[in-house]
Amino acid sequence: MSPVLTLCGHLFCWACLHQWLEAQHQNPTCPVCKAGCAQDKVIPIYGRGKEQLDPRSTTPKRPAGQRPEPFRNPNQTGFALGTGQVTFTGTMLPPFMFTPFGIQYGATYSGTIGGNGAVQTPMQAYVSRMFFMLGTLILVGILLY
Amino acid sequence: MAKPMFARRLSKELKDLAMNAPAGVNIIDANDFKVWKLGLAGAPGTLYDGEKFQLEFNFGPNYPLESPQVLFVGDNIPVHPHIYSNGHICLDVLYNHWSPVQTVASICLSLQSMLSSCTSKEPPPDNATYVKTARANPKHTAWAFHDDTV
Repeated sequence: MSPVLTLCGHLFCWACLHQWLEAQHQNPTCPVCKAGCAQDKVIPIYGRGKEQLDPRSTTPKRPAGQRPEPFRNPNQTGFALGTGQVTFTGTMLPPFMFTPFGIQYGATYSGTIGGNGAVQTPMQAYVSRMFFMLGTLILVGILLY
Repeated sequence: MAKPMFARRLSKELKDLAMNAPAGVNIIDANDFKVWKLGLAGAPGTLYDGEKFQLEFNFGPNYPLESPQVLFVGDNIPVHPHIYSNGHICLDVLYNHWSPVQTVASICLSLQSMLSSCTSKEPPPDNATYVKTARANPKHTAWAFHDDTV
């Protein structure tokens, strides 16, 4: 029932550990190894089973897990730009498009192949839309002149 | 209503003790969840080889969050630099270094180890004054733990 893990690696049931941390409020320690411990320093363990909660239980809620930001490789940010919005193919790009825009589109295109599930921030969506509009304007310009 | 924590814990400990008690430890009397009497035999090859001692455990309602009162009783109190002649034991894990993972069995083992590492059977230097002034409950004594060798 509600397992938690201390940072020193010892496993307890949250109801029991909480009682001990409360009883020891001045200098809470791990019951096993006496390393420093605190309510916000324990990690909940989630199993597959349904949590059996005793409605009479008065112990406070088990602390939530921490969500550190995942590490992102800065060299792969081009992938995140790609969504289904951009429909240019590589062959349609005129030669002079191999400007910074063109390269950007190339990268965008490669991203669309497998990157549909990529999470897009609003900022990236904005940049992507701007490039799309610029590209359209240039194409229209080529066609008209 | 569910059994209180100390009762659940002590019935489990009693079962474990009855099944496999540490060497030299036997239950003399454990009929309730308040006071237990255990026998402790001096380990072979140590200064206390062949001696038999009696330990009394008093459990409060907050056990195991709070340590039990543990003292030697009966007519044979071990002569040891950390055991007073009134049965009080100077051992940090019984007082401010208590932790709920400790059990009656683990306390017996700690005491066994404390006796076994003794090199000369001497009472504590302040035995006479302590025994005169100490209260019945050793948990009320302000212990100073300064000697880890014995």
